[in-house]
Amino acid sequence: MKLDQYFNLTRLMYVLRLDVLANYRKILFFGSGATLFLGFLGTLYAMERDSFDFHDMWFGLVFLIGGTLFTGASFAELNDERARTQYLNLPASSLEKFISKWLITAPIFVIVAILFYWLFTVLLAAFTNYWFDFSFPAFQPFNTLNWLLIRIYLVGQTVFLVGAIYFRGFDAAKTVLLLVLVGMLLWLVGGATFRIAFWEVFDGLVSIRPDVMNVMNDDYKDFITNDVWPLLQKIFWFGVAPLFLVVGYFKIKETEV
Amino acid sequence: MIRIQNLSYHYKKDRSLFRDLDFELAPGTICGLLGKNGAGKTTLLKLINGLLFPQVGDIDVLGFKPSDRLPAFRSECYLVPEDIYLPKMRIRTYVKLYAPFYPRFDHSQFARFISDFGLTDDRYLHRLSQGQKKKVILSFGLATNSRLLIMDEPTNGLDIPSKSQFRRLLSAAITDERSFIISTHQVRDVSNLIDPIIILDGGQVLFNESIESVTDKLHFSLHFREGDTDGALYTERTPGGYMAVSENQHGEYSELDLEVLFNAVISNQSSIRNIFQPKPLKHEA
Repeated sequence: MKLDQYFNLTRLMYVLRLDVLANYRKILFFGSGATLFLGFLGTLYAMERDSFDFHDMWFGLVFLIGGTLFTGASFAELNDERARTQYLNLPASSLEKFISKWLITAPIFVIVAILFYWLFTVLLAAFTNYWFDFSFPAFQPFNTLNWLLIRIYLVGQTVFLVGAIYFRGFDAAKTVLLLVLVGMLLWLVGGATFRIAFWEVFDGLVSIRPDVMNVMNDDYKDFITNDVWPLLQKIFWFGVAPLFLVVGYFKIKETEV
Repeated sequence: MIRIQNLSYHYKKDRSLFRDLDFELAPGTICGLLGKNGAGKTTLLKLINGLLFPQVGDIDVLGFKPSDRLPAFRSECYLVPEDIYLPKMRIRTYVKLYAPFYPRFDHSQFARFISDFGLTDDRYLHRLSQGQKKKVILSFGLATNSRLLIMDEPTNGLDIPSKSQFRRLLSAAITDERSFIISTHQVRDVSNLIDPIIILDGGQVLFNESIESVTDKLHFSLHFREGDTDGALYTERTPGGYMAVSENQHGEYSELDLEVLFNAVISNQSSIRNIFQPKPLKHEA
């Protein structure tokens, strides 16, 4: 079978054009809501003449929450049977459809969010300068904190992308709920495993001995610090996103009407 | 064009909808798919279109396996669903965005079709009535020049002049390379259009015959008295008297009444099956 039937750049551009047109209203809606919210906060900060951490705090919050909600709503077509029929009938491969949604919700969203926030800070500075004789510091989109937030978003949004395909309605909320449940389950299983494996550091059922650092073998400490923690970091940065992108692709491929 | 072998399908927790269903459709035909409510007409269309996946059996459509949902198949198999979803945009924007997916889309044909249906391409899709939306999608589907056009209740919501227009457009659009499948309960809307007639019942294709074969083997007649219909395979009361379906033993021509044929096939399955079964060749002594 020709590879062209699985991926064709021209067709991807057609799908992307459709997705951009279908989603620009959502972006405008989120953008307007965020502008009102941030404008209100900016005015309060300016009245208090306090710019401390404004960008670090509010850009990150609006970016992460907005991105999560936007990603959660990205497969809205699948929530309605008529729209789902139309979407699945589109002569494009599942891979092209999935890549288009990922492009919209990951790199394109990041670029649009940064541009939007930069424009907002310019307007906010002009406004607060004029009315309150007060200026916010310039927005640094790629400072260490924002760069970390962007990377966390690019990993985390893949989970919400799969949630958007899997759930029918309230996709982002259901994904959060599922994550909480999975987190609790992992915490319980992990805690029980730790309790059994490292029984000597416990004092009673769940309390850890105050002299735990003395009791714990140096090898354990090295193992946790040098092996387990870096491995967990590697899994998060390089494992989670590819795994969920693959799961999302197969899920969209298997979706029926 | 379409070959289905040993198809079995059931929805979750439901009893089997299709069991070992076999069915073939040749190109160049406008096939009428009839059946009672819940017979599985829409499900069969979705299976042919690749929107549902068969649990058992093979479906071959235009040389493709529909469940693969390859773009080449999608662009050759266009579905006009019963309930239509259209995005919030003008008709001309819709065409600009969706037509590139169909390599043989004919813009001049589309313009002519929607004009014949009394629409202009500057109208907003979400402000159209359900019937008008159907006209847009029918026009779009015909203009794609896809080799298979599947229509689920295409005349629902169409006004009387549009139904005639629909029949005219379909008759003009059919070619030796194309096939149309029409699933409908409105048999009178498509009575002079469809050939062959396929009737689904009990998870099987109960009847799959051409119009020629039906009028060859069955005789439809109107009687004023019920007593005159003795020996008929099926009789039903109509405003003008009694409509009877009987075996056409003398080769007389009669006008086919699809509604009566459907009722006859459903209510007298074994006799109808015997009449349409291939007869063994007579050997001379």
